[in-house]
Amino acid sequence: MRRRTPLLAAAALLTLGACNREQLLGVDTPDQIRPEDAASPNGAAAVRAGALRDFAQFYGGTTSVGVNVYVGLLGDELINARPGADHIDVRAFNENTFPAAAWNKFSDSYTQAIRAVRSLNEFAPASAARSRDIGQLYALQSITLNIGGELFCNGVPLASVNDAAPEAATLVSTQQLYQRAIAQADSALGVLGATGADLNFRYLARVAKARAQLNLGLFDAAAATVSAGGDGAASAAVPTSWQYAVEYSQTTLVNTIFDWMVNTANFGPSDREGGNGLDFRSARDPRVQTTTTSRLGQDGSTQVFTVLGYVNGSAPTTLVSGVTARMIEAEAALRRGDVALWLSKLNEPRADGAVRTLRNIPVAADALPPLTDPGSADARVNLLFRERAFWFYLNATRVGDLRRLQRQYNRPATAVWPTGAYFKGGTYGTDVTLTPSFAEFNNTAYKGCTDRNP
Amino acid sequence: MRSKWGAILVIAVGLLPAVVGAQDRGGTIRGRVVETGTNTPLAAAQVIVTGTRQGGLTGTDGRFVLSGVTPGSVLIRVVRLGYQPVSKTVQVTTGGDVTVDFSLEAAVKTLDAIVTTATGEQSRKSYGNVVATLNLDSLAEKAAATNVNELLQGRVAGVQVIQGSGQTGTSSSIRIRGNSSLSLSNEPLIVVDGVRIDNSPAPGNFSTQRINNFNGINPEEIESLDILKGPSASALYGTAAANGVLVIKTKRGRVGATRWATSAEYGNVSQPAQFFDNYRAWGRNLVGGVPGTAPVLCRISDQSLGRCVRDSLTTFNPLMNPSTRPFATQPRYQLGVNASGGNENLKYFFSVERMGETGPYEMPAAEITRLTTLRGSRPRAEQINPNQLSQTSLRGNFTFPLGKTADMTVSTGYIDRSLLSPFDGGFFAGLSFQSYFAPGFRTAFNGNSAQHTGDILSVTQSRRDQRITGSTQLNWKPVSWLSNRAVVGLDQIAAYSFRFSRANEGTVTGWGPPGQTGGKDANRNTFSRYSVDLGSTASFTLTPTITSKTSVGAQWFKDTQYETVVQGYTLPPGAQTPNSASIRTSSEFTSENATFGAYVQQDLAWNDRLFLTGSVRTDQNSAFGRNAGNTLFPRLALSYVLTEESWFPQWSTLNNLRFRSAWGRAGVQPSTIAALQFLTANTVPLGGTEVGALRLGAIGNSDLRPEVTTETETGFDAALFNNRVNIEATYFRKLSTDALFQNPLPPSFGAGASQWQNIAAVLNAGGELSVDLQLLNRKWLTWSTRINGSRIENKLVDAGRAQLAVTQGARNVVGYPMFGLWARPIKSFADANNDGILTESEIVVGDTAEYKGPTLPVNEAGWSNTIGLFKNTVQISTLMDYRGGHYNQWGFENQRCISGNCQGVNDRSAPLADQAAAVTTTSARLGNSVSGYFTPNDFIRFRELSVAYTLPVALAGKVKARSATVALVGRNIGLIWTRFPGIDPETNGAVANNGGGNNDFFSAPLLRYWTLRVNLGY
Repeated sequence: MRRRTPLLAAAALLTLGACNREQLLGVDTPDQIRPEDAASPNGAAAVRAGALRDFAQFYGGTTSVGVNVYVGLLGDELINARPGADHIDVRAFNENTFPAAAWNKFSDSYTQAIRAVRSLNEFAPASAARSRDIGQLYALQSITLNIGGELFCNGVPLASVNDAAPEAATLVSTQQLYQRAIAQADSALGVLGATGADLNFRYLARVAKARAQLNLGLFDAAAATVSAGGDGAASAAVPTSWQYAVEYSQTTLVNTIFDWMVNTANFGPSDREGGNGLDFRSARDPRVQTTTTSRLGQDGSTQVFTVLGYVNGSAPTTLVSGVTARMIEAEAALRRGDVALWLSKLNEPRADGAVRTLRNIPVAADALPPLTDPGSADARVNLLFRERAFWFYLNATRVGDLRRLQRQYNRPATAVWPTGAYFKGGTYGTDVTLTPSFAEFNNTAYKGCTDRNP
Repeated sequence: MRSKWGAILVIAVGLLPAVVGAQDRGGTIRGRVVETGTNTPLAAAQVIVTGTRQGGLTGTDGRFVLSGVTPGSVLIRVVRLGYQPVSKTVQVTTGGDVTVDFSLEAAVKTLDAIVTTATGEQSRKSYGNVVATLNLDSLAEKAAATNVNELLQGRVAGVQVIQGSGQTGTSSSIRIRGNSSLSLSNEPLIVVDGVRIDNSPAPGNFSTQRINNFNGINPEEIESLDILKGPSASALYGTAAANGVLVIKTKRGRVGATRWATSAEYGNVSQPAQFFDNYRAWGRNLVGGVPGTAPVLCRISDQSLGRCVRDSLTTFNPLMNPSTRPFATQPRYQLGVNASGGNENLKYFFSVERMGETGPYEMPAAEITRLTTLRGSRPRAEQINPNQLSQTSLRGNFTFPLGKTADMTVSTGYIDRSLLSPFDGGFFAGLSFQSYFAPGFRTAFNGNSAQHTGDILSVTQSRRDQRITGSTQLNWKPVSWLSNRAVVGLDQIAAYSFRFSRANEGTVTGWGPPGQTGGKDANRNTFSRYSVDLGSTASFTLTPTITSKTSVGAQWFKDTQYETVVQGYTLPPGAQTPNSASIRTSSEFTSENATFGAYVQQDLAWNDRLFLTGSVRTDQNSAFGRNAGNTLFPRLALSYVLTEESWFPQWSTLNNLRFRSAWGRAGVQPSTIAALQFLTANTVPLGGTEVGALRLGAIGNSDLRPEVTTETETGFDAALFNNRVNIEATYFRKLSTDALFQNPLPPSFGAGASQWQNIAAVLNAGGELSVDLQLLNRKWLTWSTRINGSRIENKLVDAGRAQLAVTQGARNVVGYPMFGLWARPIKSFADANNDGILTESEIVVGDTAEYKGPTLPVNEAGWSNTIGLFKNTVQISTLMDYRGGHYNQWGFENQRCISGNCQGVNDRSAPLADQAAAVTTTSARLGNSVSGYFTPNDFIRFRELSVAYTLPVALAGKVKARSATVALVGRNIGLIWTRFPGIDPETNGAVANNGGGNNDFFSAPLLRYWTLRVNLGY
């Protein structure tokens, strides 16, 4: 009897002790989706949608701003009205200070596209729709690589995307980024159909390819890619009024320009920034419409004007367009010395009613009057890049253009980039690129940029 | 697979009867405990049969009864907080009944106090660690604290309460012996009546200020709080205890007639800070040497460089100007009543308390007028006073016997807490941003940057927590040598919180869509912690001089959080829910974590003076990786009361000397999903339709283990001069290995931002000293004082191959304290052209970042005094609190200078050091270094003053009361000394459970309280 009571105590303990591990430690994690849950056609479609979301985030998404804002700040499109460091705007990049996530978003966009293509190939049934989806992803990947090459320094890592055992990523030069952009565009053109919905993505791939060719200095090849015959002998030129816009939403994927500029005045349009900057605001050009009155930015001291045309968080943002194609053709013509063709290509979109409608440009004849030849070679280059700057304002091209002015047109940095006294104190730095974020040093292959030249 | 723990427990418990052998039912000991001199009955005194786990508490009449005492000669020890222990030997016979009375003398501190540990209660002298005990029962009456943390502040060596923000309803952090973890919580585990809770952030907090779960625990309901400071003491608590354990026991009923106690407090709350002026140097840009016409901000550095000409300097202070100041002195009240009593069949304690506090934020009259005109009606009360706290606390604790060998204690607590917080903190449109960074003139927004104060305060941030904390404890003592314990408990919070702006109200930008379109973010949370704790202790005498206790136990805990979040923007007029919003989102969040652990402990006592303890615990947790094995948490402890040895010299000046030493391990578990590889879901608009999207969220880590901290502690306790001087001195060294670090993954992998890895090692080492002195003990004047302090040095020993961030400011660098301050230093500056202004070229900044200092105090000390006058009818208590050896990032001033409104930017009379800091932080050429703002943070604060008067019994009788006390209490009375040049050295917006730093950014200065309290006993 005496022995029974302790044994009863033991039995009470065993009520817990005898339960198996699963019973005692079992938990639900419904918020986390296991990889095997996505191993289906529907899963592949969702992974593809995830890659498109990552691209949209990279380009102009709301979480810690899109690359269009990074480009705007480093170049002469935007001023910083946030409290805190102005490291990008003042061209003294600090990879640890906000906003410094451009590299992360670039990597996400690039790698998720790879995962999505793999998933579609593995789980989606072979069909024209699957090919179209894959073609779109390749084309967007080509754009991603272009923007990466234009914005980042030389010698950055690209991963092989092995999730089971992530490997040190391979280092690639800027030139190799552009070459890979061309290859991805060719891959897109290789899988896409020639008609219907596929045609939209073929234009996207052609413009992406031409942009990479332009970045590599292959001007004529670039023009050929977007001109008639550039996608097969019978192909038409990329239409001037065609555009590829990235979609956003008011809820889960808010347009960065709306959220960070229109809504909260963190950044504002520049005007003659650092002396060399263009007169984006005072030119009153209908392609860059801003308010006429200013307000105080988030730092409480900077006067900020508001960019118009982004009415809410779902406002789409143009990625590339037929105007891109015309500008590439114009530049190639100028490089060949064909001033007449250059001027006509510049004026073609200015006169295009459909383009005006797309860009909310007034139809009045004097809204965008035809350009005239300024007469000198330098002035023609200036006019070409000014046209590009106003057409592509906040489309993540300006840094690439400023670097090309240095690299391909031998302009000194002091004649291209914002320089001198910075409006919030101090002086401008000398950066013309951003670097991978500091976390990239966890990649044993990466020891820093090879160089940060234009 | 059936659990192996079951088998272990079978063996461990099953062997007990065989080891112990037969013992019999014993006799009964009864008696009475009174205070020496006054013969006042002493309630709640612990009466212990030494060498066993038998014992009990005295009732309100001082009487006790112990039954089932093993026959023979037994030593009965009576201990009570504040009194010297007394022991008497009595002879107990089988079935016999013996009476023994005790008379206790008041003392400062005793070795024989009871502490509560994982295996139950035991005497302090048998525990190989220093255990701090706070008797909140009496402390709360005098200190009028608003939360438990305030009672910890400055009172316990090695325990730092790190203040967060000065808003009403916000929380502070608790650090015991420093920061041990890089990425996980550094807060201690908290156990209330056997139920685990912690100081984790309150679920669904929309305020950017820190609000933690521990905040709501009512100090008035607590009887005692024991602090196990580190793994060498807390090893048996396993994977949750590396940061120490606070063991809280709520009040209990005693045998005796029902005693009623009421308390009432009324006082005021104020914001005493002197906020800095905003400056604006007006001028015009020089273009080609000719001044323009547009007025611009003309910094003194730009003036010196010939970039602008200055016209004037203006200042404005929206936080101090009487017409724009958003602060006012506000009321606070508290009403409470409790009853306790009982008999042999039922002991009970009831309490109910209601408190209300209006924070110091108040909409300025001019803003009320402006909004009244604009809206056609006066702003609502919650907009005029947007910081309000109210709480109702109910508690009922019952103890009743279950037959002759068991009793059951049911503890139930309910808290209903409502908090309104002002729209502030990190929001650009919030009050701090709009006022601190505004230009130095009366802007169109009454001195703010871009939002009217009335609009800011019209954003409502509300939360309501309904919390039940309850446990049932079954104590079963089937035979005199065996006691069994089963505790089942639950701590559950149902929270509803929201941020809300009505249409046409609130800020114009900064939250939700632009314009005053109205919006609401809301979430509902159910946050639960389940605890099951089973334990058995067998006590027996091995030899006449050696006693033994063997304890085994098993515990299971499960923490769950279920959250639903909705957001709705653009509301129609009058709408108060997201239902009618034109933009709506919703989401769910689930978190579950389960722990199962088992332990065994062996205590041996030799002659009640030498105590040896060995124990081991093992835990399994749902968050561990699938490849992680079992983790063992062993403990060894020694306690030796030297003065009880016959060979020890009998010095009249040395009353007690105890040596103690302990070694042990405890852990911290990873976060719930840290080991998992998973995809995250979201949506993307495609063709105008939102489509479900998946992406890789994390690659997981199947090898993830708990973080393990190993601690060695050694020290001594001494009582001198007739117990008038008590000293505790302790050295400790704790090393966290396998420390979890959320290691950033190379972004190029595109595999999630980070991976949890067991890669780091952190060392904390230091010493603690507390000295209690009874300086005077006269009839008309008594004076006791206590000085406690510690020095804690922290170092990150290893971080594996992780590339630790190199952000300037708080940073982790191997070989240096965690979250130390780093930046490129300002090496020198000189006004080369003697114009009284510094420019970039006159400042030299180092090329690489250098270490400035730690952000957690290295030294801390508290000095408390209690002076009794006129037979202790008047008691004056003070508490001074010192912290030092640490630095503040002073982010507010840094950001003000970046925004261009600090003195160093605008005023040439500013000291050159201020100018150097301002120019450097805005200069890309100088690396935008913030080192000029790293400032020493040492301070001494007059923390508490209490003047309490105990009314004569005759006077108390006028209101039919047995006793009456009136107390005037002040809290955060003022800074006596500080090296911090900012507004308040204790404001810290960077403090977080997992470390953080020390930065006054986004945080409000501390509030000052004055309270009049009346206690009546019936």
